[in-house]
Amino acid sequence: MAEKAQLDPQQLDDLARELDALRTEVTADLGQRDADHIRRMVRRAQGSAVAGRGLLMFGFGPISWAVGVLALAHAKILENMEIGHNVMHGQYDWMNDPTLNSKTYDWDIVCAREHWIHSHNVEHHDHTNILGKDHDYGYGMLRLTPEQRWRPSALLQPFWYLLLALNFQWGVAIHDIKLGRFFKGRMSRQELKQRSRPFLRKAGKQLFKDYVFFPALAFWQWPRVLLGNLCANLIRNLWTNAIIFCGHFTEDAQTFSLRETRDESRGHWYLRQIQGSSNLEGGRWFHVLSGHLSHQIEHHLFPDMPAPRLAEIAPRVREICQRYGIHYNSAGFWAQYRTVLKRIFVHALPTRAHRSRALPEPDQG
Amino acid sequence: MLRTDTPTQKRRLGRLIEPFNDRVAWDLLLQRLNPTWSVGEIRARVIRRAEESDDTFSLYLQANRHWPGHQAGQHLRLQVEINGVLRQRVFSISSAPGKTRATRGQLRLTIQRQPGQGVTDWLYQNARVGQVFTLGAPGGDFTLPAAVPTKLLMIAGGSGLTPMMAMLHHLAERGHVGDIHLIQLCRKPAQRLFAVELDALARQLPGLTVDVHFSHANGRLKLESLTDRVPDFDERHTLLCGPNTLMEQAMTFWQGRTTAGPLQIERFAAPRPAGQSGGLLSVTASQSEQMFTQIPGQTLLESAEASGLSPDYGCRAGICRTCLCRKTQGQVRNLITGLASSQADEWIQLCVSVAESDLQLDL
Repeated sequence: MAEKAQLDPQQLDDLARELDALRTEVTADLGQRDADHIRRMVRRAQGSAVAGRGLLMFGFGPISWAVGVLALAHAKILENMEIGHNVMHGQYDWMNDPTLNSKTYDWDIVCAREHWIHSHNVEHHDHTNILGKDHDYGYGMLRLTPEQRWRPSALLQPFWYLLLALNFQWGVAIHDIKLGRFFKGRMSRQELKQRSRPFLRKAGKQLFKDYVFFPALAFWQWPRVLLGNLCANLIRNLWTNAIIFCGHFTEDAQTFSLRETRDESRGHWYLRQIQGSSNLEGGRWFHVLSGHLSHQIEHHLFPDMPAPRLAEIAPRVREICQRYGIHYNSAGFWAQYRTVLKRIFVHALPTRAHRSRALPEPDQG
Repeated sequence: MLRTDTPTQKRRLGRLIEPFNDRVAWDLLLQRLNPTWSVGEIRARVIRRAEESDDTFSLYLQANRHWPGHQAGQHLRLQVEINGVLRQRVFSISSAPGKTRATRGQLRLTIQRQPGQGVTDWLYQNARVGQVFTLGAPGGDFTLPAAVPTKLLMIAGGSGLTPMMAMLHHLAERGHVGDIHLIQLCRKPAQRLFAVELDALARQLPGLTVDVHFSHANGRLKLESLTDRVPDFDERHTLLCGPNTLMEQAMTFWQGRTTAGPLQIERFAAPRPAGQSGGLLSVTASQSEQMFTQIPGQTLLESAEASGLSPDYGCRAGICRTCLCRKTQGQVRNLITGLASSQADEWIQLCVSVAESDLQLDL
């Protein structure tokens, strides 16, 4: 496991200055090609959705069904990851286009936009990997570091994880309701009702669309459509889950305590974002399908930078990290995901902080 | 609880048939086939471009069937994409409204290039036949009175002539015989717009006098001299469109002359608020949970932007109402009307309003 880099305040200031300069440089260069990219993605996702739903509704035989499922899953993945996630981060707000604006965009997933913007943009991105503050860390159900308290239920966490991965959109959707607080008696029934409302509304809409409306439109083909939509949602869930877990829960992704991050400087904030995130390597299609979350480090440094730019600045961020002696956590998908699964299994047992250091090194690629 | 809220019910119904009620998605599909097709947006194709002077040009547009038709003198909002950013600007329509269904969508915009002013400069350099633009609905009350006065005075400064051209064409089509005195203000003869077209109009309109004033040779038009220049000045209904300074002078002149006829003004740029001294006023933007201060000499829109907020805006001149925002508390003054809005829960236009007390905005 990589050690946390120790930088003195002067170095942290220099780091912040270099990264700020990088951001300024990219921001000044934003223009037509970024706008063209996101519009192309919107068209691609729509085309794929129309093709997929069309094949499921009007096609016959298992091959057209399978192709339809893949096309619809592709559309949902593209829409959720490369379009929805990025647009709702405000990456394209500068385009002044009301259809690509973070204030109004809503995505094709059961998670209500207002919930996600709070739990993701506010809590997760600011408090990345701070235990107790970043509620995305383990999603309130997984123990991924010895610093989290062990409970007997953790023994079953590989099973919990499988459930979460299969139903990931639901996990994300109910995340900001903060059910845990309700069960601990720290939230009134009234507040729970209030908090659940956007979720219930959005979930009802999504369920109706995928499991009532579109199947009904297909008349006698309805089982084919219903099953197809279910599978497409499932594929999207597994994929987004794997990508997102690789972002922060790999072997070398660090966690932070509240004490460590009190009165944090801008440089320290940057440093935490780098050390709490991990990148995935792959081809261009892979980056697009991951919504460029394969460049999680760059995304966490500059959450509102249009995603394709992250790939362009990655070599420079890596070079900066190298100079400051910060571990730049990057590897192929399977190499990273293996370490995530390993963490889930290892910390199911009551591991202790000093023991985890002594764990054998993962054999990365 | 009683549910009487029909818009909510409508939305609820709309949710059921999603994504088939998604206009943006339908537009996206339609535009793959033809960029002017849309289920609700007004889109127009450039069918001709004509240079009117060295810095002014006209775009002849053919709008799709969503264009509702305009009244002579009205303006529209044109949207362009400049280096990935959607920007809007308001332009007067310089053509008369088409009378038949087929000609209703034919529009002409006459645009003066303003250096450094993004949209006009971009259009000057890039507008080509075949391009498709999104338009806003026609707007503005700078139109002829329903009963056209028999004696009109039109004062047009520079490209302020554009709405007058629409009116003159409209009057010519209707066979108007009343007296029209048009004072066209321009700097030099080379910058004079529509010389040929005005000659033709003068042949169709027996009462039209075209009176050109070149400020480079003859100095600025003195409003005091109007009474000598224009016969029966006091009996005329005046339409005026031009630079801000001219319009402000005119307003003062008309206020000072009680015998003068009515004055109708079209504004293009927002008047500058006078710099205020004294304590800074603070504005609470309740939706974004931010606070900013009213910067002296700036509008609320500019002050909000200076503090990092990005309210919607269009024309920035109090015309298009894109920046309309609900004020929940406090008093603002509208710089165009000069009126104060002191009631709670009033809609204000950020681009032409300044705070006169601490404010709370639904922003």
